[in-house]
Formats: sequence, C-alpha cells, structure tokens
Amino acid sequence: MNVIAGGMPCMKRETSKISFDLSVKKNSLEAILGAAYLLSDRAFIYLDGDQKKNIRVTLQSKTPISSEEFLPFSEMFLNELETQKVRWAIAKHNLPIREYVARQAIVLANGGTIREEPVAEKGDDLSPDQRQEIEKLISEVEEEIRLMNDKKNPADPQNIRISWEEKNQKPKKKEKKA
Amino acid sequence: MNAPQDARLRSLPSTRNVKPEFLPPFQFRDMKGWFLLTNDWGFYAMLETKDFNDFMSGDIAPDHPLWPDLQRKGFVRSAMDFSGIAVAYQKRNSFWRSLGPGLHMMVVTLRCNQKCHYCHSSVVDPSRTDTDMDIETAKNVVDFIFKTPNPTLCIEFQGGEPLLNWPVVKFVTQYARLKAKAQGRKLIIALVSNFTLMSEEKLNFLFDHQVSLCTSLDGPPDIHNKNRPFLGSGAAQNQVISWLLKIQKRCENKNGKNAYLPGALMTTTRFSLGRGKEIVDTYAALGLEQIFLRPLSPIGYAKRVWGEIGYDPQDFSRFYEETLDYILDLNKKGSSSIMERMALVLLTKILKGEDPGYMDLRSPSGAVLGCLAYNYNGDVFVSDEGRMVDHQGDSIFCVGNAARDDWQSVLEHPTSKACATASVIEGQPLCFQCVYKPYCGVDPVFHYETQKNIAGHLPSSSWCVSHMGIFDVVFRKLRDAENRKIFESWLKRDQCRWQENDPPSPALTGELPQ
Repeated sequence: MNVIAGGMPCMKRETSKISFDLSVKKNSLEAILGAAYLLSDRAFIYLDGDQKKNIRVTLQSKTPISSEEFLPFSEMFLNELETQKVRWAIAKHNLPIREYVARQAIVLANGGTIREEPVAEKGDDLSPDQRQEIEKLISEVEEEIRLMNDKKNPADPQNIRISWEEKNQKPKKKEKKA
Repeated sequence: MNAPQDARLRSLPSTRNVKPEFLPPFQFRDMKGWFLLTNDWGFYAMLETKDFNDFMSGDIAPDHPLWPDLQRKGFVRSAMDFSGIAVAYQKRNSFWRSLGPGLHMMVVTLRCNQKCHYCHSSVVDPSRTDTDMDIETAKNVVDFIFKTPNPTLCIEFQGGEPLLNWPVVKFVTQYARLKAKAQGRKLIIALVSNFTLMSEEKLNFLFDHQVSLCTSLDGPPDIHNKNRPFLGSGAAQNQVISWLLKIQKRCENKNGKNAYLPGALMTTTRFSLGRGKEIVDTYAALGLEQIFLRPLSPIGYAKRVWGEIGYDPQDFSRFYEETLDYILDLNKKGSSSIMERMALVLLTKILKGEDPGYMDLRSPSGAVLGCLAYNYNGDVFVSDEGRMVDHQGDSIFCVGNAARDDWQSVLEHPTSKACATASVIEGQPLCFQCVYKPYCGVDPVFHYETQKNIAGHLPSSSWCVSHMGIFDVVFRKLRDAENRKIFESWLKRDQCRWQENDPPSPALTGELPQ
C-alpha cells in the first residue's frame, strides 16, 4: 500500500470517488472483503485487481458529494480494515477450539457424554493418548459427515423425516391359525 | 453523506497493542464508554475501556481481579473449561433437538370485521365465506399436524378474525384434543382474536377446553382505534378492554387452575412513537402482566401503507428505550410489576442461557423447523409471514398442502431447505462477527419482502438495525444493578401457568363432534 504523510494510502480523488491500493499479503483478502461488505450500505465499493497481490479499492458515494466531504468515509474504511484484521486473526487462531466445542455440543445433543480431556491449544504438547483421542474423534466426525452427504441414504439420526404414525405404529398381532 | 456514522460493528479505536494469539474466540462491541464481549456459547462480559485494552493485549493475568469471572465464562484462552462451554452451547441451542415444528398456526378464515392499518394478514370482507376453512380441510390440517414429530404441539388459531369461523374453531379444538389423548402428546391450544365477536357461550367453551386467549391492544383509545378501526368505521377498544377484564375475572375465580390469564399484544406504529408511557399505563391499569414492544415489519398490507404508519428503525430503538425506562421505573417504585416481553425473550438467552422459543431469533430460523402456518385452503407455509407474502400474489413460501402432501415432503421442500440455509447466522458475513450473534437470528421472509433476497444484505437491513438497537438498549440497562435485579425477578415470574397436574374438564373426554 502506498502511503503518504499522515499514514493515508495514496489516493486518487474524483468527485465522490476515492481509490487506493491495498496489499493482500499485508491486509488479507478476508479483511478487505469484510470491511467492504460491512460498509456497503453507505457507499458503493468496487474491488479490482489480483486477489493474491494487490486489490484496488474504489469507494463511491451513493449520493453526489464533494471529495472533501467523502474523505472521512475512506478513513472509516481503513479503520474498519484494521479492525477486520483483528477479527479475522482471532477467528482463524481459534477455529480448532470452536470446532471442538461444537462437536462436543452435538455429541451431547445426541445423548452422548463429554470427553473430559480438552484439546490442546497448539498441539505441540499433546501426549500420545491425546493424539489418539483426537484422531478417533476426527474419524468419527468424518464418518458422520460422509453419512450426512450420502445422497442415496441421507442421514437422519433423529428420524425427523419419519412421520409420528410410522414411528409409533403398534406391531400387528399374528393371526391365530384355525 | 454528512459526518461519517459508525460502521455497524463499530471499529476498534486502536489495534496497535492487540495480540490475537493470546485471545480466545469472542466478539466485541464498543458501547461508547465501555466494551461488551460475548462468545459463541452465550457468555458475556462488560469491561471498562482500560480493562478491555488490557484484555486485548493479553495483560489479564491470573492475579487480575477480572480473571476468575472471565475464565469461568470462557474468555481466557489458556484456561478454558471445554466441558462447561459445550454444555452451555448445547443448552442454548436445545431447539436443535426439537424434532420438528411445535407451533402450528391455523388461519381458519381470512374474514375480519376490522381493518387494521398494519394488518399483515391481508384480510377480506366478512361476506367472503369462500375464505373460511371448511371442516374437511380443518381435519386434514389437524391430521397433518399430528403427523409432525414434535412431542409437544401448539395449535394457534389466527385469521382474519377466527371467531368468524367459530364452528371450525370448536371442531379443531375438540378433534385435536382427542388426537392428542390418543397419541399421548402434549397439546396447547391458543386463540388470537380481536375479542369484538366474543360471547359468554364462546368463552365458556374456550375455558372448558383450556384454550389460552390473546388479543391486540395498541394502547389508549385514540391510538388503538386509529390503528384498528372496525370495517366501515367505529371504535373497538372499549370492547377489547371489556372482554379482557371479564376473562381476567374468570381466571381469578378459578384460582389459576385450568385457566390461562389472557395476553395482549401491541403493534408499534408511527402513532405509538412518543406515547410509550400512555401505552404502558393502559396495560398496567388493566393488570396485564406483560407488554410486548415489537417493531412493525413492512410485510403484507403494512408494506403498502408504510408511508402512513411506518418509521425508521432508529426511531423504534429510541421508542423502545424510553418505554423500557418507564417500565423499569414503575417496577422500581412498586407502582406496577409489568414486564416487557421482548426484554424477557432476550434475557432468557442472555442470563439463563436458554432458548425462549422465539422463532424470529433462532439460528436457523423457526421457518418449518419450529413452526408452520396453514391457510384456510390447507396450503402449508414456512411461517405466517410467508403466508402473507402469498396473499400478495407470491407463493414462494408455500411448501405443500395438508391434504396432498406429507410431513417428509414439506421438510424436504426446496423452500424449507433454502430458508434454513439462509438463516444460519454463522453464514452471514456481518452476523458471524457481531457481538449479538449468540442471541440473534435473521428472518428469510422479512429479507425477501424488503430486500428481495432471503439471505438479506444485513448492513442495509432494517431488521438488523432494529434488533441491534434493542440489544444495545437491553445490555445498557443490564449495567445497572437495580435494573438487573428487576430483570431477574421477571425471569422468575415468567413461567408457564398451565396447570398440568389438574384433572381435565369433562368436556375434554367427550365424543368426537358430529
């Protein structure tokens, strides 16, 4: 990102339109997209360029205003971009924790019990037992996902698709032979 | 564009000292003077700015006074109680195991004797008996309802004005009770009515069959009668109040057994804004336990007249805060113990970590998975709002017909799946980062009607602005210890009054209606 004095990116200004380039490596694509989406109610936001290198961001006001009036919006975008970087860093860093807890909650919902041993945060200090536990958990979940996506035999562990009467049908009594 | 307003999720004042590698999974919001933190599992923390900055830079050590509370709630990455967190996560999403829709809204007629300005139901003239549900369709609908798998069912009569099709209301009540007894299922029946066509005979039947009653009351006479005139013209509020008082008296005489206190719902229109106190006073004077302050949705007929009765979502947030402040004040002074329903719904999630059964704020939403709506002709819709969209000529939310289709085909209908997918909050680019994610939800029908997209564009969604505004208000109020005490007392009182252990009335054990 080209920066001029004051930390602002080098911007091209037209009436109610501001453009600047952002490095994907320094800012992450998710953060750029996140900031753009979040502010898309206030301005038109165009993204162009190479997703792996640089993104040209063009902000255009939805109503005709001067570039001086519109400049604060570009500051808002850049502030939000920095916040998005934090949000995404937290989200990515904690993905294994959230997935683990979600799996445990699903196990509980299906009548199972919680495994007492928590997943180690970084994985560097896992004991062999813990590694085995995790591998077993992963293979169970992968099997669940495979069954869920099996279109020929769709998974329905709660029998939601079956009607009440089918589920509660009393077995027919065998007819007595004459 | 004037001076820039805050971005919807409010940017951090500074990210310089933030150390994400030390931080647990959580969402945050700058509440202007303090910070609110939440996590996926529904725990929250309110931090002063300095403490928040310390938290973000990883400087909350075990000897910090905030550490024990933060650790207990899952905000300390190095000491997470995974078992406790998973239990909490499963408990607040217990509806995932609800096994199908529990709420079934039966529109027994489109006819109505009132012409409410905001009516979503898009009613027709009382002469249009061709829009009454007939007995055969009613039976098909009840049979369909009892094929859905949820062990607890609630049938809610809606309209139009359901009392205009009284024979079918009676038939469905008796038939459904018999089916519930035969199948051993819990059945709750509710009637939503404007009360203007109530009679002693009808009331006797409803009491004998334990039907809970709910009406609309928009406030003092001028507001109510302006919003809800009779067809043609004429004031209706005095009749609503008269019947409310009669029903309350009956409930008192029964000492709360086999009787449900009547409820009232109010709809906020432009005429309500600035008059919250008078509206609350009307409710309090009638001894009503709760008032439900809800934003009006531009769906159905309300969409057409939005220019006359609608308002900006920020206006509703202001109205909500002023009125909630007044309600809290009444509670503090002991003048009234009236509760606010929207706050109760949110506080059930925030303080109790439970699902209150409020379809609009679930992820995925209650469409099909939590509720179904049945039109007078037996058509099945994802929700009552979906049925109203159909009345405007767009049948996109129709997922079957009770006579023709079975539960499996309704569940697997593409619209059912689309609504479920579109309303998973984790899939929304704004919502998944929002501090209110654990407590909120998105409505596919609302967004289809207002933005022509069932997933919606949340940054410009009035749904999002309204609900974010309400959450901001509730959490601001929660900061005050006295308010919190009142909220906790509300939660204790907000219990179902159905007396399950009392013997049923003889009317419930009778023969099938002829």
